[in-house]
Parts: sequence; C-alpha cells; structure tokens
Amino acid sequence: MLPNYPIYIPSKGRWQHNRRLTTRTLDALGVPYRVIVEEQEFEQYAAEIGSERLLVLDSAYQRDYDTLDTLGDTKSRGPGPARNFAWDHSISEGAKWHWVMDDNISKFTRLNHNARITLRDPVFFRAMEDFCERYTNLGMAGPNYRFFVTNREQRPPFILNSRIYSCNLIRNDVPFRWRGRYNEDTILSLDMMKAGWNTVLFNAFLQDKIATQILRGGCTDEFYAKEGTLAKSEMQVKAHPDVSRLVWKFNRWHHYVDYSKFKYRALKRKPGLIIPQEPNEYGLKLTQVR
Amino acid sequence: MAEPRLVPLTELHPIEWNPRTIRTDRFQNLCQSVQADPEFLRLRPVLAQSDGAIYAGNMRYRAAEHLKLRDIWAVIEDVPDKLAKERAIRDNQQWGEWQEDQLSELLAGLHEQGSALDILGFEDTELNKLLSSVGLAEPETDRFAEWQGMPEYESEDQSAAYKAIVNFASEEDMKAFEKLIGQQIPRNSRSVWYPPQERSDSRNFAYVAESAT
Repeated sequence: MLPNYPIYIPSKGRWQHNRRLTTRTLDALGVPYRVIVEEQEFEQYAAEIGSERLLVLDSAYQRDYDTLDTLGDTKSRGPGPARNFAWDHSISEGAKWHWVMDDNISKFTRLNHNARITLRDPVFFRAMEDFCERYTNLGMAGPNYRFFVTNREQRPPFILNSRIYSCNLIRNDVPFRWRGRYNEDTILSLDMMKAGWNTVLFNAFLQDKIATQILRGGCTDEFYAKEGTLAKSEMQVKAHPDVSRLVWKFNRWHHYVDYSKFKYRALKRKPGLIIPQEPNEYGLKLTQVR
Repeated sequence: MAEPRLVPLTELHPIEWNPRTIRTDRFQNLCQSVQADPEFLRLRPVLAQSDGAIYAGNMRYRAAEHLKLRDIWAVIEDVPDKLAKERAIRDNQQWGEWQEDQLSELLAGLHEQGSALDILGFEDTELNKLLSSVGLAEPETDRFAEWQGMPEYESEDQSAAYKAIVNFASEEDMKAFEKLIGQQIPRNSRSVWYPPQERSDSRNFAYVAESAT
C-alpha cells in the first residue's frame, strides 16, 4: 500500500548514487516521489534518476522567499524555497497533504517493544497519514530521528507539539509557508503551534538520517562547512525569541526551544470519527532476514 | 535554641547521607520558585549541624548555589545524628492531602490575580489535571489511548535503575575491576551493564508486507 499523498525531495548537489540517500531508500520501498532540483543541476540528476521524477524549482520561489535576514543572494536560501514550491505543487495536484523530505534519509524503522526494526514495506506512510487525518487541529507530523530514540527508555507512540524535522507530512490548507534561511523546520513548527495548530512527532515510526554536517552537498556545503551553526541558531532565536535561546553544547552552537507551553493542547478528533478498538498492523509482519 | 540567621553558602554543604534527589526540570522549577519569592527562604530556613552539614533543605541550598546567592537563612545547631536523620525525613513528608476541587478553585483564583502557577511546585501533569478541572487548561492528550487502531505499540522502561561512573588510574586497575565483575570491558565502550544484559539484535529482523512472506 503506497502513501496517499505526494512525496517531494528538495535536493542540491547530491545527484551521485552514494549521496542521494532518500531517493534510494524510497526506490527500495517502491514509493513514487519527485525530486526538486535547481535548473543548473537538472542534467546531472536526470542522468541518475530520470527526468520524469524531477521538478525544476521555479526561480520565483527563490526570489520571493522570506529568509528572515538581509543577506539577500550572498548565501544560499536553504531548502525553504523548494519546500514552498513542493507545497504549492501538491495543492495544484489537488492533494490535501504532502510529504517533503530531506535528501539524506537512509532508512525508516518501526519502534515496538523497545526494538527499532527496519521497515521494508511503505505502508507505514499510510499509517501516519491515517493517524493525521483523524484530527481537525493537526497541521504537521513526521517520524522522529532514530538516534534520538534509544531502546531502553519508555516512550509514548508520539510526541505532541514539538519540532517536526526532515520528513514532514504537511496539511496543505494551513495558512503558513516555510521561512528562514536556516532552521526552517523549527520555525514552521512553532509558527503552527503558536497559531493553535498541533504537531505530532512519531516515535512509533522513525527515520534514519545521516547526521547534519557529515554528508557532502545540501546544507553541509551551503552553510555548515563555511560558518558553523551559530548563524543557524541565531536565526531561530530571532524568529521565535519568546521560546528560544542560544546554547553552546557538544562543541558547537545549538538553540534551545521551550515547547512546554504547547504541551497540553489537545488533539481534536473529527466529529463522528470511529476508531477501531484493535491494533491495525496494516499488513506489516515481523520477519527474520539475512 | 539557635535562631535563623543568614549564613554564607561557603559555610554549608549537603550532608553525605541525604537520600533525596531531584530531576533537572523539577530543580529548574525550584530555582524559579526561589527567585520569585526569595523571602520564603527566610521563613523556611535550612537546618544544619555546626560543621555546616545540611540535614534539611538540601535542595533549597542547591537552588541558592545555582542562583549564585551569597548566603541563605539557616538554623545552625548540633543535634544527634539520629534526630537529624529523623528531621530530614519529616521535613520531606506531607501528612495532609489536597482536596483537589478546592485546590483547583484556589489555583483558579490565583490565576485570576496573575500568579505564576507553574512555579508553585506542581508536576506539569498534576497542574494540568487540576487546571483542566476548572476549565483553565485542556486535558492532556493520552498518547497511548490516542494510538488505538494503529499498529501495535508497546514500550517499557528498561533503563538502568542506577548509574555510576568508575574511573581507573591504570590499566591494571581496570583489569582488576573486570575480574571483580567477571566481564571484559571493551576499551572503546562508554558503559557496561552489571549483570550483563542480553542485547536484542534487531538487525536480523525487518517489517515486511504480510503478503510477501
């Protein structure tokens, strides 16, 4: 069973087989997707994954993007313009939600009984979609990072109202767009939460991502290799100063965001929604593999 | 009988047998609470032996230290060790019980007067429950209940009950320790379990479509 909603992968400088992790992951799962590329890299990407799966980023999205700074074209605008392009593109296709993913996701896993186990069937996307569609006030959701979810701790199946990052399922009719040259995941999450929408970060489903600043291309080349993480974290504090502060940790700058004020905003089920009592495995089966 | 007086923090220290601990978020809450009402420390002094060992009020002392206060109200008086231990326990007990409906009304009244309810010492979930009963907060989403009808999800706390860092001055000392616990410790490992825990090897498993099996 494939996802109901379209999947977009903004990508830059990662057309090579060993760098284009998300597309390979989705290929292995048999899931269709579109990669959003900049015009000057179209040929390289087309040679690797075929032009039919590519969308060229409309330059108007770059031009009109709210970077939240005054640096103009002196730096890359980050993935935000392509993500906004994906959002509008999915609306143009009549979708109610869309997925937008970073291009460095190496696999997806399921957490159950304290074990994180690889998913080799794409039906988990449908499970997440179905869950989101239960609610009237849920704006965005996505799987947590695998390395944030250790085996031994007790965790709920999802975290309510936190940052959704790198693999985002977004409700198309919410009145927001990506903004900020950096840290756009957290900024959009907070934009939604502050306006009364909820976010859901799944622990039951996880994404394996190459740690930021390791895989060449993307933001690694565009930002972090040149300037570290200070500018990124400063932008977060600038965008949402009431809930953010700058901290130095693990030898680099981070931003600390306090989500506690959104902790108790309840999810509202759609009227008349009937939820089955029994678990629905969506046809997934745990199997020993080589 | 000794009277409360302002004592420099440098003259005080937590007593070694203090059985209390505090979570980071609760400690931050305590610090905020102390900041909001520092006068309360005068009305509730810490109790210490004449050598400065605090047997009641260790968390308040730690909060004062964290807030970089120079001194704290304390009653310094030597008492027998047994009595100090009894008082340490008494100091942390609650004999009374909250009447939850009345407490909720009290909190609602304080809220109307602009009180910061989140620094009165309640756990988040406890405060939310009280406030939601008077319509000042939405009831917390039960995330396990909300997962009903989705793929099975079970999670239990398998984390360590206690953790300790053991430092070794030499390779020989480490080997002696390995002999003592009957385990070889890989030189690049950060932690070991005692007794050893079985590791689930999830790499040999995958979730696949039922129809594919």
